[in-house]
Formats: sequence, C-alpha cells, structure tokens
Amino acid sequence: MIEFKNVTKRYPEGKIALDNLNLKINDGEFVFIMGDSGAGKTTMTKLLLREERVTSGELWVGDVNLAKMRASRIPKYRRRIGVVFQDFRLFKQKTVFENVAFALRVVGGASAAEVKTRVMTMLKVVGLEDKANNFPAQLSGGEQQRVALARAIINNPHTIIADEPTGNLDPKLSMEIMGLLVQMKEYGKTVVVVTHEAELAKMFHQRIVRLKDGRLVGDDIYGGDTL
Amino acid sequence: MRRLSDAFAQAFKGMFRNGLITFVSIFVLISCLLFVGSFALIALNVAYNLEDVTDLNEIEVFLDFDADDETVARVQREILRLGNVSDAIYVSKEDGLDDMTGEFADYGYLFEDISDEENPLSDKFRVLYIDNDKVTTLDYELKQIDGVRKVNSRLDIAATVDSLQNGISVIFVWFTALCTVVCMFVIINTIKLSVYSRRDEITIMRYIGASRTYIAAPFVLEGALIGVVGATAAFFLEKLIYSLLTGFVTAQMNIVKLYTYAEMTPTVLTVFFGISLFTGVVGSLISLGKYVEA
Repeated sequence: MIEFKNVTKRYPEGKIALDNLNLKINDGEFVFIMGDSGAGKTTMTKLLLREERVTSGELWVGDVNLAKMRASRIPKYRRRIGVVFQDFRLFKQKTVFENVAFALRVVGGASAAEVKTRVMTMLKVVGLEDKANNFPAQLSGGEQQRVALARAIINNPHTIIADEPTGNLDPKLSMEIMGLLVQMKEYGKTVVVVTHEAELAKMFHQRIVRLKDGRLVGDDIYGGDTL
Repeated sequence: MRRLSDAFAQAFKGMFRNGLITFVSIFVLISCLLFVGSFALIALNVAYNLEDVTDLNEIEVFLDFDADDETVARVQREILRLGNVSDAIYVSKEDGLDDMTGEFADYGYLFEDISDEENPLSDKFRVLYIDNDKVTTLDYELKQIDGVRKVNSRLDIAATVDSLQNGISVIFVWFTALCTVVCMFVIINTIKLSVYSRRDEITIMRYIGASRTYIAAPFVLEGALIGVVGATAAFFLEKLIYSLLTGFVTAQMNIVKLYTYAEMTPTVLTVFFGISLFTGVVGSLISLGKYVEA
C-alpha cells in the first residue's frame, strides 16, 4: 500500500510542488496520475523513489515511512520498486539481455544460470525473447520501453512506477506499453503510471488521480465512479 | 567475486576511455613520485653519512693531574655505573703522550724535550656511550664525578647533526605533502571526467537500487590502478636514476657511503605505493561526490 498523509513538498527556492496531499493506493491497484505541467506529478514520482524527501507529512510505501527513512537504506528500498522512464534509460553499450540482467546483478545472489533463466522469462513476458542479443539502438522505441519494463520487474518488485512511459512512443506502441503495464496488475503488482495522455488513460478503465498545483483535484475511475 | 571482476573491468575501461587524461595523470604522478623519491634517497644517504659523525659515540674524560690508581679505579667504576655508558677505556697520560707523538709524527721535534716526568697530559677515559640523544645528560653526569677535571664531548656536533636531520625531515614532509596534493588534484580531475562520461549509467544504477559501494567501486579502482601503474613505473625509473647517480658519486667521492637500491627498496615501495594509492583512492572518492548520493 502507498499512502500520502498530508504530504507537502516545498523546494529550496520556495516553490510548493505538493500541497497537503492525501492519497491512498492499495496493493495490486493500477493508478494513473494525471495533471498539467507543474501539477506535481514528477515530484510525486521523485518522492516515491526517495529521490526527494517530503517537507512535511508522511509517505508510506508498505511498512516504510519514506519521510523518515535513512539515506543508507534507500538502495535496498529501491530494489523493491520497479521504475520505467519516458526516455527508457537503457545502457547503450549493453545488449537487451545484459540490460535486464544488470538489475539482477546489482542485487546479487543469483547464479549465472539463474540470471539467464530469469532474464529470458522476463523477455518472454514483454515479447522480446528473440531480441536478447540486440543493442538498444537496434530496437524501436516501444521495444526499448519493453526492455525497460522487463528490467523494472525482474527483481519482482511490489510496486511499479512509470513516469510518462509512452511519452516518446506513437499511439500504437503506447497502447502496447500501457497494455503491458495493466498486465502487471494481473501479476499482483501495484502500478502507478504518471502521464498527461488523458485519452490513452481513459481507454484502460483504471483509477485516475488528477493533480493541479500540487493538490488532489480528482480521483475516479473513468466511467464516473468517483472514489 | 563477480561484482569485483565487473568493477575491475569497468575500472580498466574507464582508464582507456579517458586515455589522454589518464596518461597525463600517470605522468604527473610519476613526476611527483620521482621528486619525492629522489629527495628521500638523498635525505636517507645524507643521514647515513651523518651517522658516522655521531656514531663515534665517544667522550673523553680527563682526570685530575694528581689522580692516583685508586682514584682512577673509582672514577672508572662510577662511569660504568651511568646508564648510557657501554664502556670506559683507560688511557694513561704516558699512552696519551705516545698517541699524540704518533699523531703529530711530522712535528716530532716538539716532543723531544718532554720526558715522562714533565708530561703535561693527565690520565683519561674514552667513554663509549649508547644513545646519542642522551649525550647532554651524560656530559653533565660525568662532570659531577669527583676526580674528573674536564669532559670533552661532541655536543656541538651532535646538535648540528640533529638540527640538520630535523631540517631535512621537515623539508621532506612538506615536499611529500605538496606532491600528494598535486597528484590528488590531477587524479580528482581524471576521475571526475570518468564519472561525468558515465553519469547516465550512474543514474540508472541508483534507480535500480545499486548501493553506493557498487557504484563507487569501479571509480575507486580506476584511481587505485592509476596509482599502481604510476608507482610501479616510478619505482623502476627511480632505480635507473639512482644507479646512474650512485655510480657518478662513488667515482667522484670515495669517502661518501651510499645505500644500495636494494637496501632502499622497502622504503621506496612504501612511499611510492602509499602516496599513489592514497591519492588514487581518496581522489576518486572526492570526485564521486554527489553522484553516489542516493
């Protein structure tokens, strides 16, 4: 479960990015976070990744209050979160296999055989098992994002955070990626997708949280079921 | 094990990725080490030769002119009881005169008229002591013994040698510190370039949950490798320079004693690898700065 309790985030220069935000996301839920530029979406992502610390309030992810978590515990925390970025952030000089395997190696503990099995399984989930030896530059944008998704889920995280995952993709590929993210919900993952593509979000009939000027202004499932 | 080999592989790649700046770093490191090393070798050899001056470790203790056998025996006992004394060799005034006659053989006519009865010298002891640092105390203690007329110690020489050695040590420490700072500055910039060229990878690693150690290891190893390469090259270059210099000095000045490079090797290796590994590792850690922050 993710819970924002009266969370305010004020940057050093004085800008208030999130203003007393209260939001609860249950385990296994799929949520779109939407809003215009400057609404606080990116700040929310940064707080969830513990890249930034809340100014006041509490931010719970499972049994961890990120507001009070020590810096030394951040790497371990992030291994429980899968993250997907708009610009994919793949290692250009590594193959698809190596990119996905890298996340396993960082955590350590897996034998070479186990790494191979798990990476190939993940590539199969995202439909790229035949591209394992390709380099990112040899893939389309959608395929690169699927590699990023495979990397995000290989350590079996309980939560996946996707920050504008379809921002660099055409509509068809965007549908594909969103479809895969929704599929993650079926695997029991909590999925938080930050996007500004309202039409795309509506097509998946999932919970949509709307932010404006750092405040919660909407929380519903497209179709009118206000939560 | 796999992580360590990965870190080494990344470190090697980093060295070659920044080829020119890595080369410059190693070159500067070698230059600094050669300066420090050459100065250290000179300082050690100077100290080695200065030891001869103080190594005489001998004080002459002259007895009263009318000292009888009993006084001589008592004074010897009292001298040998002192803590810093290893031996007290008795030299009668007759033996003293013989020594002086032999020493000034070319001026033998000066001693022709001096008979044993008219011997102007007094009996003395050649007191051999152990610790040069405590010679002032010994000098004072010897003067307090009843029957002792005069004490000839080399306090002035000991003081000069001591201040000379201290001066060399101070210069060496400052010189080493200065070279260490220069090396560190160069290595910091090299590793900064390496970190900058891999900043995107570092960002990805942080988001995936890589620990600080995991992220920092390749860069720290890169710094250490630069240090090891620099120290190794400097060691052999120093050996070459030293053999050329010792050959020249030995040919010109037979009186000068010099350490062999083999005798100096442990010192040179400790100084070279100490400085280079310290600058490499600490320089890398400083360069990483905010990049490894979570």
